[in-house]
Amino acid sequence: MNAIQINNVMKRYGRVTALENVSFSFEHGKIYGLLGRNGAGKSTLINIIANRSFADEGEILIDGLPAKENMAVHEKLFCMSAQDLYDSSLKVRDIFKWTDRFYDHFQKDLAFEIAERFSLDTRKRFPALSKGQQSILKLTIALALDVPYVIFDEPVLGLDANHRELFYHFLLRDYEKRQRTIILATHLIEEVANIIEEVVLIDRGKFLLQEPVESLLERGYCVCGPEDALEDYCRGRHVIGRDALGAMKLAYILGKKEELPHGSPLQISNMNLQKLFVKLTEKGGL
Amino acid sequence: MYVNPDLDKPIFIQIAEQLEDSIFTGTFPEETKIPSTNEISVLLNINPHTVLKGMNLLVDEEVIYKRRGLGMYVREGAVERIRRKRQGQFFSQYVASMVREAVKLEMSKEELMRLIERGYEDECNPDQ
Amino acid sequence: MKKLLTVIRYECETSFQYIWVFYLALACIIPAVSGIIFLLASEVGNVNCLELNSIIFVSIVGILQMKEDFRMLMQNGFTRTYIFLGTMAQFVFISGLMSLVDTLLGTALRVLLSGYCNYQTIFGSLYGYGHPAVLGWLWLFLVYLLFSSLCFFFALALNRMPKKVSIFIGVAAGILLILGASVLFGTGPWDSFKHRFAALAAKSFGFMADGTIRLVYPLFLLLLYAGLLNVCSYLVIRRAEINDPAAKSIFSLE
Repeated sequence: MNAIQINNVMKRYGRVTALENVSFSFEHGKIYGLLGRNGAGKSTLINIIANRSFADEGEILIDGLPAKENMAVHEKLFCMSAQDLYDSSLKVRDIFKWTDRFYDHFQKDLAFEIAERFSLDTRKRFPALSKGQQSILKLTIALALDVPYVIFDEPVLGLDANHRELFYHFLLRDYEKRQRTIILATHLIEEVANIIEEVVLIDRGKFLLQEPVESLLERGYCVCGPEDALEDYCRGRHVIGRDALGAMKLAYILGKKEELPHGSPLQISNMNLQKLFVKLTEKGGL
Repeated sequence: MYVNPDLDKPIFIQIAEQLEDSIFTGTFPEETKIPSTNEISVLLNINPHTVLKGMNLLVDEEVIYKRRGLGMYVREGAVERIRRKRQGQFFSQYVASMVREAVKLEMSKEELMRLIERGYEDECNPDQ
Repeated sequence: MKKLLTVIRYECETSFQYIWVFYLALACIIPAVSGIIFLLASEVGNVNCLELNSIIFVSIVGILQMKEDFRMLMQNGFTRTYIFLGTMAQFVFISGLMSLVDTLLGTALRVLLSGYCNYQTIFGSLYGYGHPAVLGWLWLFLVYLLFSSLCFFFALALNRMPKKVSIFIGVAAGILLILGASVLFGTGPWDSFKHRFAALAAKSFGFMADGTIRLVYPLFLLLLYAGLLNVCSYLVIRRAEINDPAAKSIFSLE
């Protein structure tokens, strides 16, 4: 069952096409990484899913219901983004209080516990918090809110390493218990590479690929060695990028890894997710 | 316990191997409970499904088993099973690559044998 | 339904705090200022302090709706329809409450200060003090409602327009205003039209040609204008978006 279905979504800002014919879906209960460069369209897509802006074409269905202007859908979804949407006159504890009233399953005690661990002063008003602490507040609410769908748009920007680890800790701690659908949109790829189960790549407003992290990593590898042998090897394979270190040439390949013949001067090594992503989005995709 | 994302080895295999190590060295004795997928996932910041995949490898090799409602336990005879498996893998995992490297370095079989003998001496009589 | 009540509760509770502060500030500032004027000029003429300030207050509430409440409620998963209904409830609540306070206080102040100065309420200075207080309250309520709705629509419309368009409209409106003022206060070929227009305007304010006052007209018209404005606001809010920094306007929601 497709939990969040994105069907042929198109979004334009004036003459710029932010999203072009994007179609894919998120399933229940997985942790997804929505990856893309700055300006690729991740936030645009998230805003449309979260009913903050509208698609010019296409539609988004959540549990079979249209996401646009639908109360039944949005009491099940929470979106944490960089945009400051919180009431500037309220203190943190009052924001918790109102979130508790707005949603059926907000765990206030957990929110205070998480705030404590992040050293977030719940008596301060929102604008009085630093940028990092404002992010932490939004994270805290998202972590303490028991809704089936949570979207994090660049959750850890501005957070130091300790707080980033703490966020992932809380995220995973409750994930197994609740098995909700979590979407992490970020350009900090290596950090989330081990946490996410499946990856969706968006590049320049277009859907690039969707695949479990594990199988994607198996399909991406780097071959290096002298030029002639390398060219020979690369024939018929999907090369997504090249590099050179003097006489040693490198080719980045997406495809099935085969054993090199005995005595070959070439060497095969794996690519990590970030490298794969960089090569895929460098010169325009697959 | 630690996983290295930059290694060529997939994460779930690293987890399986490290758990296997801990069982083999006696950190987790037979018929005792090993940490849950959740505990490992939270400690290492890894998706629990990945951890589960690693554990399932060990279940397939009959090193651990699942007790309903309680968690994963080390199977009786696991240590012995691990030893036998590793002995079987010893040639392909260590010897083949060692010989390949020795040939690359143009070492003779006798030179390699002498090194092996020295290795045993160092390991069994470390004080000399 | 429960969610709708929660929105309404949020809107009313958060603005209620500001009403307190507002009246407290007035209670401090007005006597102080009047006292100074009295000392300097040794007399105070016609005075009205409450209603004009309240009008400014409700107008500001109307403008700030989009900047603050809209965003907070969007963050918490409410649809634009719910947000709109909550906003309407808030306007009714604030207008109703403040008009009641201002009418009561106005009447009281008029009596209390009758020896010192001529305290006027806007309703009283237009229509005299012979009408039942309820009508005065109702009229003031509709005036406040109209101003908050007007400013709300204004803020919404500006939000939807790109910056260039809103500047253009501002300049055009300014020019029209100047033209209109010169027509109004000058003489020329529009005189007969101006007379007809003036008579119509008077009638809409309730001043009949035969000298009587029919309050039904202004009350009805105020309600109509407020209603129309809010219908237009609803149509605009349905398309309001919170965007990436890619799209910007003066009142943009980022």
